[in-house]
Amino acid sequence: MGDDASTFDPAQVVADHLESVYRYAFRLSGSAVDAEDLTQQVFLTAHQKQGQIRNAGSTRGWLFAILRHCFSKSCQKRRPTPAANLQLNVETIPADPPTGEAIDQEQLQLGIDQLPSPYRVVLAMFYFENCSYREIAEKLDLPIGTVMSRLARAKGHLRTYLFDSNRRTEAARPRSAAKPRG
Amino acid sequence: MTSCPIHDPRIIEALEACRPGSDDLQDPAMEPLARQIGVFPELGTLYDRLQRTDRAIAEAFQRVPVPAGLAARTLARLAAAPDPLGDLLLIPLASADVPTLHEDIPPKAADCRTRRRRWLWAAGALAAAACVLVAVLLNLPKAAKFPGVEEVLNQAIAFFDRDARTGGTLLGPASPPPAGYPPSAALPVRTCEVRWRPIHDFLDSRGTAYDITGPGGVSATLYVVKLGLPGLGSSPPGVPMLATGHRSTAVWQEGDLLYVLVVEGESREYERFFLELATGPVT
Repeated sequence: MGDDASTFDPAQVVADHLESVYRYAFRLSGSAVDAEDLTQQVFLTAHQKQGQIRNAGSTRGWLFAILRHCFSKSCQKRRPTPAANLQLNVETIPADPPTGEAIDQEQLQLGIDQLPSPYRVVLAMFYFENCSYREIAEKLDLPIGTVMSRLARAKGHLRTYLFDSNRRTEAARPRSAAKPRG
Repeated sequence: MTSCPIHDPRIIEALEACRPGSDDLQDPAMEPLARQIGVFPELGTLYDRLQRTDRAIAEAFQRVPVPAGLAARTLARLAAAPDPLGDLLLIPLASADVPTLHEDIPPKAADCRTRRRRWLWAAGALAAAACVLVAVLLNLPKAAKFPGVEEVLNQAIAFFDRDARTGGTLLGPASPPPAGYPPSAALPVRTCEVRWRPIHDFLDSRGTAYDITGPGGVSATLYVVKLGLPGLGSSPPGVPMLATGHRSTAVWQEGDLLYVLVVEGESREYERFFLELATGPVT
């Protein structure tokens, strides 16, 4: 299988992980075209650096790490993303939470797209990879306090977008005060 | 509900960090949250609601349709890429097998030798370039190594948390501040009790810390180091640039000095600190 470095089989790795890598790429980039490009970059990089796989079973996490790296690089090439309103607001937690199917996919992606890329990565690692805040801090080499702060703000922002129609417009408005200024 | 700590950023951050269906709440670092949930049932209700909401969002995160033909297109692009192992493949030749004349060398072995020489040259050039790069990086000013304002603010809060903030010298005409690290011109601390002390490892630099007790009792420490951080303002903002874990902080640049203020408290304490510097104690 593709999980063994000594028998790295590109076709098998693509078959095993393509869909999850694409979905993750779509959540990060917010566009099908960018997600496909990112996905192909991930598998090309993996193909070129296949010797880096150390442990069986680590391929998925390794591919996700490549994806985050490719995404961050692609963000550097673009114009800076405006900081969104990242106020903490526990009142956006619905009293009667919906099911996953009931969540509006378009609003979900719009809410993610409003976030600056470092917040988007932390959010995707939490929701998509099911990483704990400690794992996120370790993988991104960030202080735990930074991760917890970004996570709380990003989640609050996303819920505002999903569940509070009155504040959606306000959340979408760029607001420099929400991000460290300098 | 008034005493329930749902507006405490530390509790909110801990709530938000617990993954649905996990045992994150058992993490020793989550002990304050677990304790508060035991005390305040409404916080437990909020925790359950957030867990269910997060489960739904996590499920929705996975619901992305994959375009048809993506696997074929990806495999085609992989097939078109050079084989990373093939490029490095060197055919080992026993000494007895090595032909003495160039024209006697089989084309494949000659290709391999050419390729090997090319790789050796490339590796040598890369090693030389890496040495030059390391030398350049080592000689860059320290500010170039900073990851950004946010990291500086986080490091300042971490430093403040482990800083004992004791043993300073009362600032006054008899004990002026150390030369080279004056208090900020943008921070009018004349009405405050200020103590200064040297610091050695703030942002990997030496400098001076000014422990300030504001007119209304708000405590803050101003760290001064000789560093340059591009793009900063020349005075402290009226609202903190980062507020987390009961600490509010801001950073600004005056000449070649970097000033980082950490106020003990949330945004309102930070704002009160500045208000009181300007107007005296607020009752």
